[in-house]
Amino acid sequence: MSKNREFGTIFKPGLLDFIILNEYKLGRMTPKTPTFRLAPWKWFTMIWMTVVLVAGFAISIPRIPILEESARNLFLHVPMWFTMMTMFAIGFFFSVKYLMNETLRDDEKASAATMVGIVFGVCGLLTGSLWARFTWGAWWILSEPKMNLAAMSMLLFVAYFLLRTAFEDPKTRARISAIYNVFAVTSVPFLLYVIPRQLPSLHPGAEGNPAFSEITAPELRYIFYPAIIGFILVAMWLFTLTLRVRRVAGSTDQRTERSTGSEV
Amino acid sequence: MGKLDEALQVEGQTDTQAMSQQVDTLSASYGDKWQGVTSTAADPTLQTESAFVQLMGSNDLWPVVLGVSLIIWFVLLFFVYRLERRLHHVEASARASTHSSSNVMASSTADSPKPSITSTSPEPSST
Repeated sequence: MSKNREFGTIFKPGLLDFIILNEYKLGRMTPKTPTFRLAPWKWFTMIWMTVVLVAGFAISIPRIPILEESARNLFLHVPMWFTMMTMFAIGFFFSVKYLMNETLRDDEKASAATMVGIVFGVCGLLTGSLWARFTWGAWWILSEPKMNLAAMSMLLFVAYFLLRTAFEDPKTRARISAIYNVFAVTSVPFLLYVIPRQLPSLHPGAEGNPAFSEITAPELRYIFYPAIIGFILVAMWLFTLTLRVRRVAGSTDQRTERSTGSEV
Repeated sequence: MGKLDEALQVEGQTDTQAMSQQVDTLSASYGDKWQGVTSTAADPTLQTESAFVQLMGSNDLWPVVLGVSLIIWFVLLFFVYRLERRLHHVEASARASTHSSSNVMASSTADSPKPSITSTSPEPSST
């Protein structure tokens, strides 16, 4: 096997590599591009989350029966759900805005926010499952309402993206998916907070089990609240990145079509 | 009924024996100490480990967990930063090409009126 082939098997080119290559081929990319500078709030996010991560492991926490050192998962698991809800709320906002104004940019924003929300929701499920293993003794407990309803709410949003693939016309897709998103987001508080609180559950915050506010030591709160801010900032960063990648991909496709059309 | 009770009792005993033979993976699958960081005072035959290994092996091994988490976090940041850089270049070239094409359009419309093409360039955004 030649060196190039070996290189190709390790470093698979992505969508952006193709776009950049195409830009060079068409002579639209010049070395005169302005200097790259990361926005200050993104530097702040990097430093903030690194500090949260280090402090989350370094602080001494009280010895809580059953939880022990796994109590530090509070800094990851719960903020992830908060972030997911924030991103779904942003998606909800842009879906409603689309239904009022019918601007396709709002549909793009709703879709991007929902996608980032799903990523954090899946991470919340994974960290929750890991925590369940070391406190309840099993990766997944079928009789646990909060776990099952959380997984179900994720499936609602997976269905949102499946629905989007079913329509060719962008306006029809945007309208139907906006209506569906409004339904999905409004059902999440019931699935994650209202119904589990009415049922007996091992999860904190359910019937017969104290909620976060009653059991959480103050030492944990010093990291917990900054972690929520940090994760939301990371999610906003991913949200803007997703939007920009989609816009660049879309506009490059259209410009390529136009330039090849003009050549013919 | 008596036979049934006896059978249930025997079954219960075998279940208890089987359970006692099972490994409790919650507590036995990992330990909170490395053999390599045992102090030389406890075992004089061992060589003294480096300060780094001693640090990583201290405090119930949380430095190891932190180290792994930081590695994952920095790798993630590296990829996001690289994506930002690439996006910046592509967006800049897209803006430049749109600007030049709009100039061409303006000069051509001055000679003969033609239907305008809607601009599809991405919005200028701060990176």
